[in-house]
Amino acid sequence: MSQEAFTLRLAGVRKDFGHRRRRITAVQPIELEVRSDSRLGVIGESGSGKSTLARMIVGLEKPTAGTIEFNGRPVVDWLSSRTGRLEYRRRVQYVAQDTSSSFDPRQTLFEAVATPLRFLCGVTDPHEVRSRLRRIADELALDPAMFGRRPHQLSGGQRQRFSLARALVVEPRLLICDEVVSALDVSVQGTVLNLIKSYVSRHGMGLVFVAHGLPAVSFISSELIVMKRGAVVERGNVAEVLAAPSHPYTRELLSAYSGPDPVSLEAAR
Amino acid sequence: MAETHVSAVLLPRARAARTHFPWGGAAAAFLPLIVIVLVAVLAPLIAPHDPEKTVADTRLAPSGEFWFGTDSVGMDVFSRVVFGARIAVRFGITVAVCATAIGILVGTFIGLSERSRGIQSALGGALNRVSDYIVAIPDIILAIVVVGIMGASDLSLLIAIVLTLVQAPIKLTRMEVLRVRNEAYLEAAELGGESRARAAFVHVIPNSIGPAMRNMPLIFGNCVIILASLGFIGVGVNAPTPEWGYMISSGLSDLMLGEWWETVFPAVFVFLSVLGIAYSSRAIPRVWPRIAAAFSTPSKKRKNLA
Repeated sequence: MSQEAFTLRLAGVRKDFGHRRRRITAVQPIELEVRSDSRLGVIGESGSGKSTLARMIVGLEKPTAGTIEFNGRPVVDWLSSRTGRLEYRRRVQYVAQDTSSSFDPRQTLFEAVATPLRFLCGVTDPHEVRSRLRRIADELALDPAMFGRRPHQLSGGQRQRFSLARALVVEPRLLICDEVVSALDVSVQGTVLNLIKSYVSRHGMGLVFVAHGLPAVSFISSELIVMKRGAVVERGNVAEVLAAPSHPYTRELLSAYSGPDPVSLEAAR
Repeated sequence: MAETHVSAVLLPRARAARTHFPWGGAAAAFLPLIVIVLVAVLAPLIAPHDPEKTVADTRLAPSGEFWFGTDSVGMDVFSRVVFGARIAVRFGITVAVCATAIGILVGTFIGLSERSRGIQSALGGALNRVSDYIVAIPDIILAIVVVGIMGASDLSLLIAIVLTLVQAPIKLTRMEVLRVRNEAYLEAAELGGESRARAAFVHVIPNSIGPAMRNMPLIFGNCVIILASLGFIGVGVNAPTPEWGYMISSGLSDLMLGEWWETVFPAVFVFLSVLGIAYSSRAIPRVWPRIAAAFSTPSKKRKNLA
């Protein structure tokens, strides 16, 4: 397994939606660096631009201004050619919140998970496809028998783990998780978070974890940025930000959370 | 007491039998369609006489030998009506398949080109507008114009009817594509390295064809009507060939003389076949899930890692 290092750098990246008069700036100019060992949490309320940020990194949205560079090469450049696109996709993968429509209802999960393997890694030999799928199933504690099913035959938590399998089967260097646990119930959230955390640390890969819930983010990430209305209002080490929030919005977020203290939650794991 | 006991035992079984045997309902729904197709296929066995030859005196009333009588040149009307089903079915199936296939491809292209940029968007937009304009022209008039331009032949008839009836599958597919294109699995396909063309054929089309497929029997029915109408006004299939519309019009002059059989029988068959096809097409959505389930069940076991 390659432990190739990478640097993802965002410089002055901004994203606007709409035209002229009805222009909305979803993400204010942002500077950010993600390295192979980063575990960056992005937190903010709905509409704060955190999902747009994640989608820009992965290339599903184009920034209005600024550049996103992966290993010194702009992402638009990576995505402009077929080979570059495949290479970038193999290194940077993305898991979305919506589990109900993220799988083609007509395909079995086997087909869905084997597809990126085939196109991004060029693995076509049926035996190898099977062994790679068995391996990822092992790591994510999936029942291999479920690969024969169709997405509607699974629960949301199971589907989300299969989305993870689909993203991780190509052994990416950076995983972007966009609200992956927001739609799941609390007990399933814990399982999925644990799987992500252990997988990421085991493989020494980068992680950008976008969520609106503080406990999940503080559990899984080492650095944290807080976004509000498209702008980064606070950033730093998770423990430091939680101990001494400087921005009023961060304090608001902290006080709004009435459950167990996220740090002790992490200790309890 | 005993009776309720028995029914309580039998009911779940009956329900299970229904879900595991979908063909009963399906067969009933398709019956009119099947009957029409069977008549067309078995026409030489059913028809007692050659439909294109004079076999008796002209204008004989229906009798034991000539069930539907004979026409103005002494051909057997019953044989001609039976063979007429052949032409209707041949055109109906060809048109339904061609129009649906073309409509699905064009509708998918239009749906996917909206909100994209460049040549594809311009081409898709233009196709969509042209399709809108064609919808605005009455079916028969459009078909007459096309046949008028291209001359009467089977091919020009086919093109005329397909052009008229292809609009429904285009619109139906486009609508579905506009829904499917926002589904997250298309983004997942892009992230998984699938090309746009592959995604269109593997994900978009299979998830968008439902309405267009269910519309197929309606195209069949409409095709029978248009073909008969073109035959009626004399721009359809050439003269001696038994075609319902042409028979209706050629018998029309004798209708006033009380010799109704040459017109009425083919007219009744146009009516019955279109009605039957419409019945089938309305029943299909009801039985479709069960048919689909019956087909998709085996694949569950196929790809299994365990």
